[in-house]
Amino acid sequence: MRKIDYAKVDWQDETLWLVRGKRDRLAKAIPEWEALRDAASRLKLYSNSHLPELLEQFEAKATAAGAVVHWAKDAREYREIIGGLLTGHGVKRFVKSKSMLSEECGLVPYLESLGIEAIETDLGERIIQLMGTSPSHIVLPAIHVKREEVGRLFEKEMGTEPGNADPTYLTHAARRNLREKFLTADAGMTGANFAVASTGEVVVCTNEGNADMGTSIPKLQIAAFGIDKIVPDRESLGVFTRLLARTATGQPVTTYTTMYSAPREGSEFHIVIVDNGRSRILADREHFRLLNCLRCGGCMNTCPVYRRIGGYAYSYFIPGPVGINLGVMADAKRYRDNLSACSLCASCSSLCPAKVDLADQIYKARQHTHASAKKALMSKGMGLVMARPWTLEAALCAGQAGMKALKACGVKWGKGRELPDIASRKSYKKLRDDK
Amino acid sequence: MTSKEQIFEALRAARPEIFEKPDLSALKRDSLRYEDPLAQFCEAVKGSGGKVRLLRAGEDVPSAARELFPDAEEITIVPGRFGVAENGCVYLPEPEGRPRVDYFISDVLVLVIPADAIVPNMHDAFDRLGETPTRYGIFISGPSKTADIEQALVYGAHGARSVGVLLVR
Ligand code: SF4
Repeated sequence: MRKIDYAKVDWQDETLWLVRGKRDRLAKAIPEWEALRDAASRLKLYSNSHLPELLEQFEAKATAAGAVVHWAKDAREYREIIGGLLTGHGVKRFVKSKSMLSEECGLVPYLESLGIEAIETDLGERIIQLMGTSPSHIVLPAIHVKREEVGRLFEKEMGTEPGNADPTYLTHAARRNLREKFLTADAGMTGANFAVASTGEVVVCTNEGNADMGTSIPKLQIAAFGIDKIVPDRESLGVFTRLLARTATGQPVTTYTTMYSAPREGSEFHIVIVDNGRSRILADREHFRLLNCLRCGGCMNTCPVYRRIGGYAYSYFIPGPVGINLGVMADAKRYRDNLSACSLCASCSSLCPAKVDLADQIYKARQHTHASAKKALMSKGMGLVMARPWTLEAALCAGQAGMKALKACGVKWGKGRELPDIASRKSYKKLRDDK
Repeated sequence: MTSKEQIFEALRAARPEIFEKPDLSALKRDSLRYEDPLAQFCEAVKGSGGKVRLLRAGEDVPSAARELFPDAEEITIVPGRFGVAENGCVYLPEPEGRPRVDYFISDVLVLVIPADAIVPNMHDAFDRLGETPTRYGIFISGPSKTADIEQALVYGAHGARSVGVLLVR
C-alpha cells in the first residue's frame, strides 16, 4: 500500500481553496453575477437543444471564411481525421495546446504510433507529458506536482541547474526549450472554449500564449472540439467570457481570448467537430445539463473531496464533480465507483457558472446504480440510507448540523465547505427544489 | 451516411427538451458600469501585470514606449481598437502588414489605443464587434503568464514577457 503524503494533501487542499477564494472575491465584485450564471445556463440550454441548426450555421460561416470543417462521430474518427491531416501534410513535429478532448480521444499516443512528434505546449501539460502521466485537474493539470519534482524533471529533460526549483527559473527554461519547438513545428492544434454559430469563429482562452504561438507559425492549423462548444453568437460570448476565468482561476479574464476564423495568409485552417457520446448525453433526461459545462474546473476547486483526494483518485480521466457524472455517462458500470467520492454538499452546483446540476445528478445516479453498487461502495448503514431517500434527507440534516458543530470547533475539513452556512437556512431538499 | 449525417440523426433522435433563447437586454442594461472607465481600465491593466499610461501632449508613441520599458532590447508597437474597463483587455484585429505572431513572439509588446475608446465590460466589447464575421481578432490583457508550478505566478510563459498600453488623446 502506498502511504498517504499528508503534507501534500494539505498543500493541495489549501492551494485549491485559495483559487476558490479568489473566485469568490471577483464574483462578489460583480452585482449581476447570479444573473450572468443564469444567462450562461439558459444560453447553453438553448444551444444544446438547437444543435443541428447552430452547427449548420457554424459550418457555413466557417467554410465561407476559408476554413475546412470535418465531422467525427467518435474518438476513432477524431484521431484518424487529425492523423490523416498531419500525415497528408508531411508533418513531423506537431505542437498542441491543452485540450481535454484530445485526452478523451487518446490523440497523442495515436500520433506517436504514426511516428509524429506530438508536443504538449501548456507548461502544466508539458510537465505531465515529460513525467509520462496524465493531468490530475482539467485546468491545473500539474497541481499535484511539487516544484522540486519539476526541478528534477527539467534538470534531466532540459539541462537546468541541479537543485534549482524556483518556479520563475523553471518556467523560463521551459519557455526557451519550447520556443525552439514552436519555430520548427509543421502543424499546431488547439481545442476550443467556444465555437460561434453567427460568425463561424473558434474562440480559445489561454494565459500562456502557447496556443497563440502554435497557431501563428506553422502552415497547418487545426482546431478540434465537441459539439457542445457551440454558442449562438458573439453577444453570448459577453456572458461566457465574464464568467469563465473568474470561476476557473480567479482572474478577471484570461490573458488571451483569441477568435480564429480565416486561415493565415498562405496556410490552412481545419476544424474538427466531434460527437463521441455527446448526443447520448443530450438524450439522457437526468444528465443532459452536463452539456452546459464550460470545463472551467471550478467544481474541482470547491469540492471538499476532490481537494483532498486529488484527480488521480478517480477512475475517469476527468475528476471531480463533473468527471463523476461524465464518467457515469461514458460507461456507468466501469466508472460508477467515482460516485462514492461525493459528500452531496452541493457546493459544486451552487458555484458552477453554467448551473450544471452536479450534485443532483450524482444523487440520482447513485439511486440507479444502488443495487449493483451497494456491495462495492457502501457500508451497510449507508446502503440503508440510500435505499430510502427520506432517510438520506434526515441523515443529511443531521450531517450538516454535525458539520456546523465541527466548523464551530475549528475542525479543518469543515472549514472549506460552503454548505453549512446555507444549510442553516435551507434543507438539502429545499436547496435542490429551489435550483 | 456521412459522419455528419450520423451525428445529426443522433441529435434529432435525442429529442431534447427545447429551450428558448434568453433575452440578454436586461442583463446588459444593468451590468456593471464605472464612474471613471479610464481609471478602472488602467487599474485592470496593472492588475493583469501590464503597464499603462496616457500619452503626454507633444509626445510621440515610440519614445513613450521606450519610457515604459527603458531596458527593453526591442519593443513591438501595435495599434489596438479599444480597451475594456472591467478586465484591462485590449482588442486587436488581424494585424495589417505584419504576421499574427508579432502579437506573441516579442519580449515586449506595446498596444496603442485611443483614450476615449474604453468600453465598460465584455458585453459592450462584443456589441461593439457586432455579429459580422472577421478574419481574426484577439483580446489581450497583460503579459503572458502561468501558475502551473505550485500556483506561483510567473510572467513570460510563451508570449510577451511585458505588455504596455499607451492611451492616445
Ligand atoms: S461543471 Fe460547471 S463548475 Fe464544473 S467544470 Fe463544468 S462549468 Fe465548471
